[in-house]
Amino acid sequence: MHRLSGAFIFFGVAVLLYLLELSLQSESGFALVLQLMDNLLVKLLVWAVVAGLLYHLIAGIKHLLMDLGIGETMKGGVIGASLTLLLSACAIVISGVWIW
Amino acid sequence: MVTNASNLGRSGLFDWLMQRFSAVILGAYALCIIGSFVVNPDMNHQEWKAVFESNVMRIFSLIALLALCVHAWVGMWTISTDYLTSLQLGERATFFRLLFQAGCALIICIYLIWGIQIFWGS
Repeated sequence: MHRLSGAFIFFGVAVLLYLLELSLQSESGFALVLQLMDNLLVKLLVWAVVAGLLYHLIAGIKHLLMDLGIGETMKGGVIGASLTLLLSACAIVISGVWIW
Repeated sequence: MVTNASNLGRSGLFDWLMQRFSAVILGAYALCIIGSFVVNPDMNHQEWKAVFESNVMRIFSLIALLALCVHAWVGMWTISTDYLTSLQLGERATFFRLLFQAGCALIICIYLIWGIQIFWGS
């Protein structure tokens, strides 16, 4: 999952960079980004990339904690994995609400 | 000793460490951007531009961009050496793996140059 989301956002970051460039370029570019974000397909695309990023971020924090020796037991691993999925799901839903 | 010729630092331990360093930087940057949205959810163009125009943010953005390049390379390299091997692809595995890695390197270069233009251009 971490690898899959990583590979996905490797390509998805291009979408965010494009929108960032456009939004910073000029007043009209900024307005165009807002206009693009009204489009359902653009919304879904941006949400997908943001979802990938959020999951990768939260799972990444879990990985770093485990590197520090936290939650390395079997029980800790299960709790960590459940917590990662739960927090990611919450963050992804919130980001979806924010995009819409 | 046979070592891999395409990994980042000629040493797995170095790659491992770089992956984690860059991860921390990218995590901090992501939280910073999310924070700016939380603090000011309805920014206009001027405010949005101001976020990225300060020198501190420009430097932070550049560091995050470099971290992204390192992180993406180590990550995509790991994926390619785990899933594009002779086990899956047979004799031509090395060719396809290097082709894939070259494609990733090209994309990373594009991100780097593009990113510098966005954060430091004009």
